[in-house]
Amino acid sequence: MALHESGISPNSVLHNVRQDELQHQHDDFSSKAAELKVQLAALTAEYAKLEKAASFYQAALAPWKQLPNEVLQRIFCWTKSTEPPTCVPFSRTVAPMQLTQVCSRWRAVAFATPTIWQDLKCTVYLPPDKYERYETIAFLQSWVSRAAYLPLSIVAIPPDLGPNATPTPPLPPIPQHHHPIMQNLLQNLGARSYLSPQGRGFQPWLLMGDKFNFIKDIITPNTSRIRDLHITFPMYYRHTLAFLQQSLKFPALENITLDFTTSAQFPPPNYSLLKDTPSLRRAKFGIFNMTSHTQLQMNWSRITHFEAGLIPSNIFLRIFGEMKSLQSCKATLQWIGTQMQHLPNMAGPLPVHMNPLGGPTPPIDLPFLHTLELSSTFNQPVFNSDNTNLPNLKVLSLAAESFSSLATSLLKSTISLSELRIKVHSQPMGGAIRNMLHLPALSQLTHFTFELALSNTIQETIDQHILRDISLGQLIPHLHTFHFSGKIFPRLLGTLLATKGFVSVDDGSTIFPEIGKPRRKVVTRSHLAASFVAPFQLVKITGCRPDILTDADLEKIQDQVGEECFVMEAPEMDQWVMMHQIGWDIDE
Amino acid sequence: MAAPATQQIKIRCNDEKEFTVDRDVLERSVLIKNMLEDVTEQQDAPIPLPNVSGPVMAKVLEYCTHHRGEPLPSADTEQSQDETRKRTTDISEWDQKFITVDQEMLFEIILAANYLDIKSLLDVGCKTVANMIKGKTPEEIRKLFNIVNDFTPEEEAQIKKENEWAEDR
Repeated sequence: MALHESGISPNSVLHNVRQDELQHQHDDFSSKAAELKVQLAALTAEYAKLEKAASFYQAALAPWKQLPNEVLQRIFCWTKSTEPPTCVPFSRTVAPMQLTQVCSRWRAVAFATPTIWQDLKCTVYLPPDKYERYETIAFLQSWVSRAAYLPLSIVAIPPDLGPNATPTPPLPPIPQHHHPIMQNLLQNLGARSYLSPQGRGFQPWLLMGDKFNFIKDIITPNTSRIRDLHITFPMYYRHTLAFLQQSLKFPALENITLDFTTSAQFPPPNYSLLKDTPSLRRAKFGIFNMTSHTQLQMNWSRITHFEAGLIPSNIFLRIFGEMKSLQSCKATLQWIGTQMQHLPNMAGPLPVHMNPLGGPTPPIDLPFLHTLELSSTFNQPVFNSDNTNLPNLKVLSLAAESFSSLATSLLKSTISLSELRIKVHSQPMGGAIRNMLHLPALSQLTHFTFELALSNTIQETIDQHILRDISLGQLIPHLHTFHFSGKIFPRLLGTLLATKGFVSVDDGSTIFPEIGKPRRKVVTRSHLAASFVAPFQLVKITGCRPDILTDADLEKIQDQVGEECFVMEAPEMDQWVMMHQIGWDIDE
Repeated sequence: MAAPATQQIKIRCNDEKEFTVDRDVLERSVLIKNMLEDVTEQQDAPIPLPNVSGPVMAKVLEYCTHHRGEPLPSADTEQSQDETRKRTTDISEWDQKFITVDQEMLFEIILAANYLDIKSLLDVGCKTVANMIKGKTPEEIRKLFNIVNDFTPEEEAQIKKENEWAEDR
């Protein structure tokens, strides 16, 4: 038996066995261990080799390998998102660049799939030293060239110079002509990543040199291929976009979005680029100003979708009637009133039929207009209903201080309206309400009021015996949805809504219990849920908090309507309570 | 009056597995539809499908049976979808459940749909793979699909240069 197997302690062995015998046995085991170690290393190496070979064959047999390139291309096409991918800077988790970094075959197939390269978004986000202009242009040109001859969608959005911008935006050499204080500031920026100098005569773009000109460099040579162009820029970069005011031709341009922040110091550019855009169908402008209009001679008749964040009302009036193919229009009208004659670039007085100050308006006949959303901060008789014809208008949204006359005109101009959204501030709109009652197809009504507009109006209407004993549901037979937000007297709401249908009450709605008594906020949605459920088949309560609509309320409702009609979804945020019409009298 | 009997067609897969299927179900495949139209006389011999195995064909037939009667997408439809660029990778609930299979079967279904020319099924498969790719780094994609990084040194150098423009390099 070997010593190590004897169970005898090494200490006691030392006393009994000769030193050299122990040494001999130790050497023997060490030698065997070393031998095994060598064998193990060889086997490990062999195992690694076999494993590598196996993984090679496994990878070679991977299911995706059987896909022909055209199927791989089809898959790549589906990786496109609806929004153009950002190319400067790009993300390694987003196609198409993501696909080019997987393996040689994917890279080759991705480069040979033009569809995935036809959209590109450039943020002007330029880490120092990395984004030299010529290199960025080369990178973008490679991108665009992979799209072959496909039309392009280009989005240019503002540089992120906010405090969270990383890495630090570039600060090129400081122009010599800057004020010494500014030079000193710039030279001592240290680790600051955000600089927002302002002041009279200061031109911050000078700090940026020509870094942003790659926008121009990528757009200008490709004008014939650009199908979608979206440019959003702070106005102080307008020098970068000056090229847009050149006589460029955009024969393939279908959609354009131009959104510039502006100020007195940086007025919006004119949109000369729109002169040669025969394919343009959708136009969206942040600010559409007088200057741009007078310099713009485009054919509006092909525009199907128009949107303007802010547009002088007389300009809108002029082009609205010209857009004969218009399907959707959204605009915030800007009242220029009596200042009109002082505006620059006004090429003579407007013809009398375009006078927004109350004279007759031009005939407006837009047979395809489906959706019209207008907002404003004034009450202005823009339209003359006698010569306005919107036969297919289905959705009308009006938001203004008061849209009494405009709403009246528009509601007279259509009979097919199915959805009406009204957002007024304070003034009555009895005429509009009365016209609304004659819309045979109206099925959805949304009313948002800041004050007592609706209640006053209805009260006034009731007082005029127009709505006495008649519910809105009876007057508008197809109305099935009524969204209401604001303040209203319960009796009036009851009168208005004593109809089968849907009701939604948004957060912040209040109800005054009785006419003539001091205003008292009694309700929120729990009150409505408890008191107004009965006449309706469905009450929608949005964003309800559990502390407002309590469990007790819910139990009460459930008891009233029966379990089978009681539906709740996302109870903490969105309560839907389905009700039977049970003939509850609202005045009780 | 009894409804007219639907014509039954026999097909034979590459593993000799045979299926007898209603003609309208099989005609979801443009390949088979064209073959049937080319044959004027009734034939009892099964149609050979040398590129599809029995288990995969069973899945394909499950899809075709569920979608029988739906209009076949035309070339015009595809073009107009492309035109409006309303392409979405959303997959219907049933299709999603149907395509929840292991990776090997997923790619087999895609290959079969491609061979049999069933565009809607091909799109379901391709969308599924595309959705698996979305949001992943190249390294994660390699791991997911068992892809070896086989870039040449030149390609590696080029990628490194390109990544100067990457926000997440």
